[in-house]
Amino acid sequence: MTEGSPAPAIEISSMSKWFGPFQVLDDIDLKVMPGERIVVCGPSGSGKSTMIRCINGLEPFQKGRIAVHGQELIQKARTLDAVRKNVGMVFQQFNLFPHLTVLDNCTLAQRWVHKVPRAAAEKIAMAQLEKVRIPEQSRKYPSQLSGGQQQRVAIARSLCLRPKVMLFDEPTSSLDPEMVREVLDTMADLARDGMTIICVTHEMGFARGIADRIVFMDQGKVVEEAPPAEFFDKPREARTRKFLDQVVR
Amino acid sequence: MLDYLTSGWGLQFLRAIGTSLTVAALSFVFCILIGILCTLLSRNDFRGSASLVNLYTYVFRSLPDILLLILIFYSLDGAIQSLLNRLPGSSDIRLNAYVPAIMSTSIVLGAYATELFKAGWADIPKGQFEAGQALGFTRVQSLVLVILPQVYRKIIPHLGSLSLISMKETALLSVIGIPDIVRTASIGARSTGSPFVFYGIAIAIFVIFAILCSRVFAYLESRARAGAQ
Ligand SMILES: Nc1ncnc2c1ncn2[C@@H]1O[C@H](COP(=O)(O)OP(=O)(O)OP(=O)(O)O)[C@@H](O)[C@H]1O
Ligand SMILES: [Mg+2]
Repeated sequence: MTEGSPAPAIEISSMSKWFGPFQVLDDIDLKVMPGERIVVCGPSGSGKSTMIRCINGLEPFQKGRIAVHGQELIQKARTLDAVRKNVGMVFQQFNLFPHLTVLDNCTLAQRWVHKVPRAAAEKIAMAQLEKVRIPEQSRKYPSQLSGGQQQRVAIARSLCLRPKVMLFDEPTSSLDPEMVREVLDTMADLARDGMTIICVTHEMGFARGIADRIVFMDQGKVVEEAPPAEFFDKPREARTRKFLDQVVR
Repeated sequence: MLDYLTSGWGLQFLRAIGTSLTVAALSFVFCILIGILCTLLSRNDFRGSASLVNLYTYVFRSLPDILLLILIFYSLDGAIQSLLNRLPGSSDIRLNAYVPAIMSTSIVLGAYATELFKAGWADIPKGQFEAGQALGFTRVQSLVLVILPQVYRKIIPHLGSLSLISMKETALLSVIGIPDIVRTASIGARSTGSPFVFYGIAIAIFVIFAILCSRVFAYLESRARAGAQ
């Protein structure tokens, strides 16, 4: 890695994906540098979730290539494991493990995947829970927490594995409005710490405040890609303008 | 009644309880393994395996257990015997009847267990599997650490009934000549001419077992419910 050309954190090139005969992703190109914060937006069904799910191998793709920190994604258990060690993911539905306490949610993968001893894993978990500002909930079960708290635990759970990239798929979309703020603040902290972030969201205020670049998708294609100021104030494409008219009032 | 129990029947009944409990416990464990295995098979991408599992549970739901038990018992018994006889120098080893007996009750009960596990499994949201994958768990880790504990919590009340069924199922063993509780009671009833005493004792044993079992499972259930809904 030379000074002049730092290696990208994520490189997607000419990637296409089909669900049966239906093409969901059409020749996607996207390069994300370390520490960059990308917001992905676009109408429902445009393939946003599918694209970020391809990045950690939750979905296979049929054409093109994806590399994460130089590690190419191939549908083989060994390489998938290597890629997933670098990539954390936060889901719309939190997907915390309901049978485990908050603390155990945060230590399970550390202990079994990364083979961290229990005491050390708990220390790391507490530090991350501290960061998302809910260390006092560590002994509770997910069902005893509010949606916003659950999502912050999910973020902490991912961070415990020290990922280099974090993927978020509409992390605030299933939250009550009064809880959206706390989760966005947590993500903003993360951005400030220099984490590489790709986030699918409809929170345009967050996008404007945090993102380095906004990627707009429609019908499986990346239609437009621009820094927030440019994206919101003088979008190039007609489809972008139409979308913005609908979401930003 | 005490006269009977002290005159040797007491010991017979104790042995019978040991037999029934052993068969019940082993078939309970094996049927759960069968249930988990069949659930995995029916979730497999390979279509044929799912239909096979469906056929298995369908057959066992629609035919009387006793017929199947006898059928499996004699075919397993025959198969194992002929295998043993083929080993050199081992002609005329009589196989312990318990092996095919436990295998056949496990297969019968396995059909119930499979239905249970399949239903519990279907209740687990897809996101749980994905979270496991995203955190880097292998398939086996995700199964053991994430999915099965949740399936267990969902089906624990039914596992209680399954344990009772496995105890009841041991009564079927009497037809293949294994001295379980029911067979002991019927022999005693015939040879002494006091059916009410002997069948009464048998019923009492099953009732006590049922009460103990429901205690145990009530406890397991309350523990499983801690926190998680
Ligand atoms: N497993 C699947 N099988 C078949 N089609 C699918 C599957 N998952 C998604 N699709 C289809 O692929 C398209 C893109 O879906 P995707 O979930 O990526 O969209 P999205 O941009 O995330 O939408 P939303 O904003 O509603 O979440 C949709 O038309 C969807 O119906
Ligand atoms: Mg989506």
